[in-house]
Amino acid sequence: MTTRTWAVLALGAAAVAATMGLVVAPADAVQGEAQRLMYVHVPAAWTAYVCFAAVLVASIGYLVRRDRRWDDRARAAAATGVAMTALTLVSGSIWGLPTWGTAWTWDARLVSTAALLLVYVGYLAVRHAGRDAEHGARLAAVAGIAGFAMVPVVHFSVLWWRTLHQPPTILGPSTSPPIDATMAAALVASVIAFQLLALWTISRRYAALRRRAAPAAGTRLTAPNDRSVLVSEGDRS
Amino acid sequence: MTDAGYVAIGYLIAIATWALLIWWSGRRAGQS
Repeated sequence: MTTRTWAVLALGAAAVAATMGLVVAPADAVQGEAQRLMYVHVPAAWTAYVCFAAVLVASIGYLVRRDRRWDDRARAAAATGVAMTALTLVSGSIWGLPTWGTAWTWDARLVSTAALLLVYVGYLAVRHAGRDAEHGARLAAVAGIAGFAMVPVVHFSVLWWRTLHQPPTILGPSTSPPIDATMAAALVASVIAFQLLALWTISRRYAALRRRAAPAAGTRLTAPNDRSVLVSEGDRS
Repeated sequence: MTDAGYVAIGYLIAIATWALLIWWSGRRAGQS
């Protein structure tokens, strides 16, 4: 699928999700209108988890294959994951103000999420510490594999420690999540929209990273049979 | 601030985050 197709799907899904979350879903009986922030906060957190799982898989792929395309996939997914982790923290702080009376508290979920953000900012930075591009990619791949250990710590922090943050509603031990059906539908719509937006930005970033790797148009290359060839715009991948 | 105000700020920040990410993801990547 082309990035244009992802764009149309993602923007359409985002419009549906915003309508579901802001208009169709009812206000919460206890939290009132503020609960609608769930349709931003929860999908952002889940999308970050999925992006970091993609970084893990692509990092293993790079170490096994030593093919820069795997490193570019990991790098593209990490950038979207970092943005989603930051959005999780910011939207959670905004939600915390009317419900907890504070934007920040030294709660295990909040602190572990902030640590997750730092780990993946470190992932993006560590490649620049390498002796060369290959060494930097290897360092980043190791960080991308080790860093994923933070994801279960964040997710289970609300079960492992006593926290102000509520335990998971959907991805929890219960087989029948305690959530209104319309609210659940709005949440699913938001999760789908966030995942499609992430696929779009990751595929777009991957394409930009691959363009960097491709030779520029008009560059004279030496062919295998030692004849010089010119690379045209149409030959570039 | 009203609850609706907090929701509006949260949604606006989400839209701005995605808009920034979409713009940045298409930018030319530097050599590394």
